[in-house]
Amino acid sequence: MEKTALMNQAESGDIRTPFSVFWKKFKKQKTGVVAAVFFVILVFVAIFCYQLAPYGINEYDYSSVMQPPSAKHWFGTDEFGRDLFSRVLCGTRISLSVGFLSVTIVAIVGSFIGLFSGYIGGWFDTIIMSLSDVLYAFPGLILAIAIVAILGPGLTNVVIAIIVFRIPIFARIVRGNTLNLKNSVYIQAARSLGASPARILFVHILPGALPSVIVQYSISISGSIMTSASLSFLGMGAKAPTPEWGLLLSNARIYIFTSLHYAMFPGLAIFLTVLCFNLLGDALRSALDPKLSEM
Amino acid sequence: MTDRKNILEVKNLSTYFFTDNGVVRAVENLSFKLQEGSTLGIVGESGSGKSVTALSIMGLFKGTTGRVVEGEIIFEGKDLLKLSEEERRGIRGKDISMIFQEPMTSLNPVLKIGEQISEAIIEHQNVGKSEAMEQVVQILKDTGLPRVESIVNEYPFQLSGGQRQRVMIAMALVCRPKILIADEPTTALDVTIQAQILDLMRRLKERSGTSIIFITHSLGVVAEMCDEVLVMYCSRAMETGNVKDVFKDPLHPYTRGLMASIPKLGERVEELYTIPGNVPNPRFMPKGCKFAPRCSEAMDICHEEEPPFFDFGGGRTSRCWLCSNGREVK
Repeated sequence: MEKTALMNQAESGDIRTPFSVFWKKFKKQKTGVVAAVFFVILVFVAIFCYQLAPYGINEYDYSSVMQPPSAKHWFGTDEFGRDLFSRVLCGTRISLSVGFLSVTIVAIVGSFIGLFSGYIGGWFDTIIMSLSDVLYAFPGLILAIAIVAILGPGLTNVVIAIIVFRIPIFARIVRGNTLNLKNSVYIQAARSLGASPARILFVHILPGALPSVIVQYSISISGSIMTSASLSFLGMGAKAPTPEWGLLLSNARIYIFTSLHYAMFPGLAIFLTVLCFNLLGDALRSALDPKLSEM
Repeated sequence: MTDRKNILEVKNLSTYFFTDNGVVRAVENLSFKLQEGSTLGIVGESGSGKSVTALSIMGLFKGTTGRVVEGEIIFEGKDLLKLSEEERRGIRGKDISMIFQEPMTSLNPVLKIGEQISEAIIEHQNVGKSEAMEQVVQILKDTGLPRVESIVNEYPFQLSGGQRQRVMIAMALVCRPKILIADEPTTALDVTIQAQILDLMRRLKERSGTSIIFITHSLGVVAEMCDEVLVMYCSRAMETGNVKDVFKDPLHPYTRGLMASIPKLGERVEELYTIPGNVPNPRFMPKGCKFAPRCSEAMDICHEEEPPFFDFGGGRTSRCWLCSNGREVK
């Protein structure tokens, strides 16, 4: 039987869930898809880096120090003859862990603060938002350096520093969404059915704020990877012999004119990872932004 | 008529909004009774306080500056205004529920239809998920929606306006409330769908015996749906009474004006009647009768002193000096 337009509509109607709508829009963005593929590779590498690495990350070989890239050592070797490819590969796990761990905690804590601040309103909201304004006024990296200076260097403290200076960003976004949603007709309709405040907050308001949180999540990961690399570069994050990208760059700095490869590959790793998360964030924004969505 | 029990009694209700620019008196000294199993129509133009009356009964002022400043709302012998928020929440959706004006924005876009309707069941009845879903499917079937089983798993944007309003009605009725407040449920719909929705509400009402407060600005809808009518103007009740009596013999000049401005079939007129003037600015309310500046029959006393209610028996009252032959009510 011939398919009528109505049947087509009915068929496509069956699969139009919010996710399918999102996926349809996401697929249209070529850069986003490339970034997503790269993201999957990154995660795979982060999980299996020790299996994938051809050499141990601390395998010293003084007979071949500062070797340029070759078939044996794809990215060359460092000043102790360690294989740079293995080290950069294993650095993926550190950078992604720091990025995901810190941003996941920030997203949860910040979202809750924003949710309650926006919903309760009044004095509570004023105090919370003033505090977040104070934090927001500091340049991020400077604040992170200050926090690490107080807590002492190390990756754990880097994570804490990132959490502290990123909380206001999430809190503000979620608060804005909450303020917007809490007076909407459907929230009032839910109230008219006797829905409890908890149900209104978590079932009705939170999902509405989620798209902005997801976009900010993805963008924040690139930011926090940058921050952690910067702090390690400044000697306030990871300590040797950890193959942290920022630390690798810092070590390579003095050899930059003699052995470019040493600085280039960790730098490229940071560059590509940050670019990947930024592009992913942009694509997610275009696909999730309710303002751009069709009714 | 009069031997029926009053399920809801509103006495001297005043609701004000305390805005930065001063107090807005949205509802002023409003009293009415809703009889069990009957439909009360509240008519009035935009801003006359109809919706605020509904919100006062529901207690939905969170997030606004509105507050009931005076009066009693007696439901089943209890004054709702004296209950705690938690106790009122137990009544909302279970005993008294509400249908909103705009079906397009009254449903949460990110929740499935089934989840939204089962909200009231989960909140008020101690039943499992599958049993709640059974009830949802049943009530949706009652509203005459097609392919109910798939609709429960769909999202609001997949439905049309009329379908959404049916879902809203299902949501409001799923716990079999004693009172349903319908705040202009058909205003946003086109005329054929309006008729279907009105028909549906009438059928559901007959089956469940729910009392309805029907808020509208259409006298046609009132004539079709309601037993009693309350005409509001400038936050006040102007006239109340049985629908037949009020339509046959409107006592208040404002009601007469409203009637005159309905186009009639088969009558050729050059221009439709309109009530002259505008609704007075709430900040510069006339001293006497609020309708006096627009009233063609206004007398001296109308500009000086606000008329009380004059009772003509059988629920028939009018707030007009012309009706001073009736019994005065305090």
